[in-house]
Amino acid sequence: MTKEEIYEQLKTAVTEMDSDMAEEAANAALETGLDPLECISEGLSAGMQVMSDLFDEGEAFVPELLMAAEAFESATGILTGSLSDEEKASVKEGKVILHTVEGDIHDIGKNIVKTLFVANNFEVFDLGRDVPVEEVIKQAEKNSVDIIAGAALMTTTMPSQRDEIKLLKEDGIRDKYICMYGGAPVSAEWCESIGADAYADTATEAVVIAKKLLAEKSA
Amino acid sequence: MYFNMDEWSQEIIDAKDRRVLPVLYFPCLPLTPYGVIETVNDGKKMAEAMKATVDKYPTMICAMTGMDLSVDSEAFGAKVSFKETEAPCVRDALISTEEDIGNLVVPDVHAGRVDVFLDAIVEAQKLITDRPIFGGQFGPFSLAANLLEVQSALMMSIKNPKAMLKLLDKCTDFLIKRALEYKKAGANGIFMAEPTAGLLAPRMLEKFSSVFVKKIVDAVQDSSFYVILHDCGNVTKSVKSMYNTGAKGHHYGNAVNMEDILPQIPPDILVFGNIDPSTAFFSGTPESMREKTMALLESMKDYPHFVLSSGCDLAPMVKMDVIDAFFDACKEYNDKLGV
Repeated sequence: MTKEEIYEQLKTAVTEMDSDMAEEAANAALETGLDPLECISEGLSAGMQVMSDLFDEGEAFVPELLMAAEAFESATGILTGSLSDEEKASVKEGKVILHTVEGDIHDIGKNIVKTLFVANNFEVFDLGRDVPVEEVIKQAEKNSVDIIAGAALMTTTMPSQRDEIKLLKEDGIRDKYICMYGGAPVSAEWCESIGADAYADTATEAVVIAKKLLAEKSA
Repeated sequence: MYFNMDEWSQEIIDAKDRRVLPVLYFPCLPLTPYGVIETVNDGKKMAEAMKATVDKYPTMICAMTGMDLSVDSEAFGAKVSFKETEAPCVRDALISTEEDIGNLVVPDVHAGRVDVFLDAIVEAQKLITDRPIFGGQFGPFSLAANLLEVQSALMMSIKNPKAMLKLLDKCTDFLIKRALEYKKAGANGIFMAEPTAGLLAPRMLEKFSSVFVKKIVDAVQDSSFYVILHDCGNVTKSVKSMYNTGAKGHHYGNAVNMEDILPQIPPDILVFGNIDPSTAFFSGTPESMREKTMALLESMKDYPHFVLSSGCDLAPMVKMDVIDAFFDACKEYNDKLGV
């Protein structure tokens, strides 16, 4: 297969939500000696972008997005298996911690956001759900992330987002991180009121905003 | 107490004024001496809270049990988390594999706290005699997703539909039995919450939700017992499928535009919606609530079968002055109509 054909197969595997095809194409890419990172950006990420656009247009739904992400991750695991951590990190857009805030056990929204961050070449540290404020900060420091992104699905758990910002300030490390939040009850007004850097209404918007804020920060 | 629910529904449609039914229970608990945990474990106390709610807001077209959607999963054996600040919820998946589904036993209809809600219906009938009383319960896909965990349920629906359908059969079996118990206890209907189905594509919603909702509707609905089907997802493209379940009432959340929904539903079916429970009720002010409610009512003026409602269940911490503003706006609208 040519390089273009392999890229196309990787892309199709994602849009067809076919993990077996994704793994097959990834192995073919390695056998052909293609650059794994180019395979991800030209093939897999291109496929995820198609799915992401369809999701935004209401033509694809959450199950399809999750299945596409599974295919994406299966192939990514194979393609990056032989790379050093340094090599992997060098080509990443940035590092992001994702979590559902303390007291909140609803994580489907956070998982969708994760899918799109991974597809857009971010290194994602998924802390899961109901994550204590202190743990979020501890993991942000430990992994030297650029972004802290948290979701709350209940009105009662939104104050944990405010507590994260407060603790970062108390520790004198607020400016080290871009803090962004989302979730059904969360709003731009709320994020502004707690001193966050951004609010994202959708998973796609979260990625766009993250890229923009990272670019501004490094400028 | 017996009500002919078809006549009840038709009277609402024929009325010159706009009727109102928010999914309201928990925010009214401060009107009673009880907290969340007490009332979801004691039917008599829940009935008192239901009475306090309709006394405070007498224009509500019916009374409703607390919308505790953990009860169905708990009956299957799931562990429930109780807090004073939120409705009870299930924290962890009870099952994860096809084998688990095969081994899952449909529980006795009185398992867990089901009887608390049946007691609430019985006790509420002693306190509330001027309007119908509804019991709350899960819809089939949402129950299945609660037992499996949402993401696993969504993926299983694609990867192993046969296993998912088997689980849905078990969930539906239980939910039919529970709805029949509500009916036997004297409830005038059920509010069936099927929010997780809103994450499915229309063709999947039909296969994994509507088919099973219809089984429940067919088993329990008649002129004395009314089913309101609630889905607060972005289901504009699934309205026909949901309508075809036969439920006589349809309740939508703020993920849809009601102007896209109403034209799709015949005028003899009640359609409820959809003031945002988060940004309007929880985070909003009385002023913003008035504005949003008036705008919705104005946009619905050509649809007699529309009933003003919240887009979903209201959380315990929603402030009473915002709820007051919601009802006041409806009254102001009706006053302008001269009724």
